[in-house]
Amino acid sequence: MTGADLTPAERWPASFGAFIARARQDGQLVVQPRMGMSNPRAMRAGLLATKRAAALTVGTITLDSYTRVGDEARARAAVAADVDLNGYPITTYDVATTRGVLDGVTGPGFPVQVRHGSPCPELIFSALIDAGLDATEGGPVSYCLPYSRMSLEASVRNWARSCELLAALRETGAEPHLETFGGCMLGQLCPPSLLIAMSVLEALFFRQHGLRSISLSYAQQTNHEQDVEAVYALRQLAAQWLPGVDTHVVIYTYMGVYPRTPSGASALLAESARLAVQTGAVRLVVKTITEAYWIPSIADNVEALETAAAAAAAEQRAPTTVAAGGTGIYAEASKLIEEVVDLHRDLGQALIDAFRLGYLDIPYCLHPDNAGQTRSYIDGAGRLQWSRIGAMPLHGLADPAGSAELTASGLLASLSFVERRFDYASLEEDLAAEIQAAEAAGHVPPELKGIK
Amino acid sequence: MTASLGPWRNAADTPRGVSIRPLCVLFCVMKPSTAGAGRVRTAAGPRRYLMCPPTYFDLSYPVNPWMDPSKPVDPQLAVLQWQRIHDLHVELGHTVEVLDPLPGLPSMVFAANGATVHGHRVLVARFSDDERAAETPAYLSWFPRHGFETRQAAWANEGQGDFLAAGGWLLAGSGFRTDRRSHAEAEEFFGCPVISLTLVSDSYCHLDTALSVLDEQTIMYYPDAFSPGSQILLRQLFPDAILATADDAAALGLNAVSDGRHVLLPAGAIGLTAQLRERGYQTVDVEVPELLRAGGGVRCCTLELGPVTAGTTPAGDLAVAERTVASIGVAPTAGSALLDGAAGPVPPEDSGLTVVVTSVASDSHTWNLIYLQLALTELGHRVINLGACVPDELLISECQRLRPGLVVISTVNGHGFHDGMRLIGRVRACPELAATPVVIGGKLGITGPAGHAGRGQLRAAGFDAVFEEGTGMTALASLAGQLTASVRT
Repeated sequence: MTGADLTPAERWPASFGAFIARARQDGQLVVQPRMGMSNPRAMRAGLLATKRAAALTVGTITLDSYTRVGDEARARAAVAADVDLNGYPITTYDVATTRGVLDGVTGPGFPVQVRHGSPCPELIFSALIDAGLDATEGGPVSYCLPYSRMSLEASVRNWARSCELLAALRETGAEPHLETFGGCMLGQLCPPSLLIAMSVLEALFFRQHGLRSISLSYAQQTNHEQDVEAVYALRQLAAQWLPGVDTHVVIYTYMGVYPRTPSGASALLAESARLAVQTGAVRLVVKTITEAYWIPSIADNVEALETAAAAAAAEQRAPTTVAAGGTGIYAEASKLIEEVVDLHRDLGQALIDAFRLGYLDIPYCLHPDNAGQTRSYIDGAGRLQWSRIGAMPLHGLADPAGSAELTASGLLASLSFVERRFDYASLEEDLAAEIQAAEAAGHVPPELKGIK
Repeated sequence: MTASLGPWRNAADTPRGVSIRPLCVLFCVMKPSTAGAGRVRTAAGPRRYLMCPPTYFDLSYPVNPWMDPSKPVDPQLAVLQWQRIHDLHVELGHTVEVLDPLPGLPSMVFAANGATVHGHRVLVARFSDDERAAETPAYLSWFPRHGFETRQAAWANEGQGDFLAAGGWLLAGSGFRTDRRSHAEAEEFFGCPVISLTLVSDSYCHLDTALSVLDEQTIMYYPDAFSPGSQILLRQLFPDAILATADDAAALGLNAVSDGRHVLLPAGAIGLTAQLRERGYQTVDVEVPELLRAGGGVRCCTLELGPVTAGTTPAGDLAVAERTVASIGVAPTAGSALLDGAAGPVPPEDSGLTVVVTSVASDSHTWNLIYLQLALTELGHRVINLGACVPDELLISECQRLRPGLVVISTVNGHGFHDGMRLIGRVRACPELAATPVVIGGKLGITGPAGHAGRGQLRAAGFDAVFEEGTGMTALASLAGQLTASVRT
């Protein structure tokens, strides 16, 4: 089947933005997995399971690492040798195969988004368009600096061309959707003001290259109140900077080192669902309880979707109040965006210049185009803070606490801060339950005596 | 040098001039060259290149025998292949300037034909094909804006397609594209002796498809592409040259780019690749099949602007590893602190190992690498962190350069088993890395640990140790300690 003989309505049965708008009207949180299998039958089964989960879902096709780095030869060799990849190699399979995966699965009630991670996504975008899809994600910075060796300049050029390729679908009456990945940036230890500034800047880049339906991401960090403040700031900035664009905020459940205990992992997922509901974000991309170990199964994904949906529903029924203190996240992000936008009329060039000047500088990012002069830490309250702001124009706004010596164990402690918080809570609950049960039965084992 | 050159050797004092050009001029400036095999390559400095993306690439007119305009071109594929060349140059530490492509000019991707650059002077091409003549305004505008003294050639001249600098001369081709009168014009304009060479095969109608300059004194070429007189000339000038076979030349192996140390050329040029490695060059396979259909390879896409001068990029010959590490604020040899401001005592040179910490080509994770760098540095080792998505070739060339006491491959994307099996084979195939301690660790399989059998396979394939997730840092620290002790004794 080719795309040429289909009408736009047949070719794009579901607009991602329209689906999200309906969910927003109904006051429901849309949940979405990070799912990708190399076998087309397994991929189809995963999408069907997502669709049938007890939750309002959109489907995901996550691509494999070879396709992400443009190494089609290895992806092809792996498929030929029946070696399982860590995602779906969309550029390796022919259009008919991918259409076969989607046929009867996607539709107005179930949009499917392609998630990839590529700094050179043109072939990926062509492949997803050929397959009849029109929603994907990423960004010229967020899929270059943390994830590749490509120069930022090359990534910006590639992303400009790719955005235009996707935006060209608008001429057919479709409304393609693109999500920024800028709210993640290495997943850990990047203070929220920089995350939301990156998300808004990438959205502006998408708009400059023709997109009109854009979601802005924010990845859950280390402190719930800080996250709530950040997402409110992101929504406010999106409204200010992207008038006339259909936008929504998407939350990513924590992208760093994940809790190892099942109840700790579930609690972290539930907290991200509550964050989305409390801040009016309409969509959540989940993580599973097996995340700490291996690539999750279809069942793991369905369980995570349903856990998140249940937590969101509970939060909607009985909202909790969160004191989202004004710690200046909005002001910092606002300043970063203004300074970058002022650098050049072409936002791609502005982003390149901003990194060259160190106006944008991602802490702990090893990429040669990142200045590497900023540092962050987790303070006593579990909030992400700047310890050094490098050349970022945040003087007078952020108040760096000075640089502490970073050791391997210090880094590990920071990276596993969230994991420990949720795992310890979970282990303590287990222990308390065990003691309670033992007391009820009238014989407390000696090793548990005196623990309370 | 052979005895037949005797008469000219006395001409050492002859002033450089056109009257007795080229041979007498040549030998008075010719430097003695060392024998090829086993010689140590001088460190190559970073170069500046100009490239033009194949945005409007097409085969719209048959201008050479490689072309088959009946098959449609895949411009996206061409862009991808071009991007790979671009990125390789950048990864090797060079600066790449980009010329904006113009619509309707399908051959503009072959930037090497656009001009000849010598020092700060530029002679912009005069194309013999009318279709390509429209490209010249772009070059006439770009070069002056970037500080070059620029002039357009008066006679047919296809830039670095036919003019290649070697030694202190310009080797210049003619016979198909460039007019011989332009050789004299170039000599006058650049004030540099020109060696005129005559091309005779229409499969090699540009000099840069028949001859490639590797470094100051070394070239490689395909003799049959030249007239008998030019063949004699080349033999006399470059007695140590690498000679390409018909197969190597047909694979466009001579359309290579060399920075004096790394040579980018098509994998199909098997004989050349072997000879280059024997001479100590590091070869990098580059495949550009889509562009090859228009007769152009990696060299055609790359216009050399000369060495990077101070001020245009960070100074010095920094390989990508050093730039990566420098970007987080630590000199590779000082290695005591991972991050700026996290200063610790600098370990003395002999207190630990030089450790290369790296990921595999498909893995983008870096927190594991940052942790390993900190941990190994705290144990007194000097760490070079190659960062994320390290191509096999880069890892191998950095190991050949640094000769580390330990290589730690850390990967968590689930492709580690397969990537590791492939990589270790390539590492062990290099004689100088046959005994280098190499370990792998992380999340090696996508469904779970590689397990006992998988670890056995990895060890059998050449890894000295395999650390799957769950193994603490202790095991790696202990291995590094043992290696340090064995180095001392």
